[in-house]
Amino acid sequence: MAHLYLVPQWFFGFDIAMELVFAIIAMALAFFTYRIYKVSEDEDVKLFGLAFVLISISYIVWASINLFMLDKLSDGIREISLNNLMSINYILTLVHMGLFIVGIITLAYAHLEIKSAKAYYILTGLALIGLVSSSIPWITYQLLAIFLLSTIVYHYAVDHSCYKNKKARAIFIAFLLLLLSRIDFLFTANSAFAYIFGHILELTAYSLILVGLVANIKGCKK
Amino acid sequence: MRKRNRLEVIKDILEVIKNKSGRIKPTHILYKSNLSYQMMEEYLGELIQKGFIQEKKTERSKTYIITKKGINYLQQYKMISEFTTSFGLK
Repeated sequence: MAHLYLVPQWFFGFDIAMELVFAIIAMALAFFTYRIYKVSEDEDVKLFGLAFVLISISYIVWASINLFMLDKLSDGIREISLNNLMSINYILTLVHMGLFIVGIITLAYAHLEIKSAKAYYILTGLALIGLVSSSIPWITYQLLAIFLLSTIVYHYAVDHSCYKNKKARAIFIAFLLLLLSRIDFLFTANSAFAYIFGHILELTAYSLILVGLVANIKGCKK
Repeated sequence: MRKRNRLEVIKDILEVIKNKSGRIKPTHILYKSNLSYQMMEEYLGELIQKGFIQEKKTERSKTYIITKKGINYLQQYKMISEFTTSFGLK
């Protein structure tokens, strides 16, 4: 099986730090969402928080993979490859991808007007089966993420066009950048630059999410 | 006129009850909250289930009482509304 992505030696460490930052921001958002849920008892708010818990854990797993599992290649490049189906590399990578996909399915589901637990389980099951049975799981993972993030970005675009709210605009741009990062990650098997650029896009996206979160926390204290 | 979202409707119902000294008959809610009877019944069921209001039945009538949890919702509504608007949860 081919390698998933290439990491330049000089970038090794920065990527892990960034992934941990993404995990912390996602978890902070989940905690604040829980606070809102405790007052409102709203199901959509609960799902939104749960989605970010899953996304946060997925980044922690990704950082762990990058910290412990990367193989060294020549020319200052490290790579991660999935050669053995029973290897810890393979299992952890699937766990990371599965958690992220279930996270964004939950996020997309939280935005749907009509709720059906059955539909949610069918969506999740189909996505996970597709991921586990794929011979190119990294590409399948990114394609699933691109599709799901597209629906979320569309939702935010419609929402923003209705309300013209500054914070909502920041969140719309954040998810648009997350979508672009996933498109970029499709090319990481052949380009170390794509891996770096994808991380920068995600860092910008999570910075915007953090700005939105801080603005909400400040608004509460007023 | 902009359509109210679910959280806004809940706030309006709780405010109607609170403004009537915390106790109200369903006909008053129907009149003040601008909902159909069926929608009002659905919302009241949800509010009872969440513990925001309590239903008190006597032989002749039925009244709804706002709870501490319901009052807390009203006090924190601005925070809830800003968060859900920012993150597209309506």
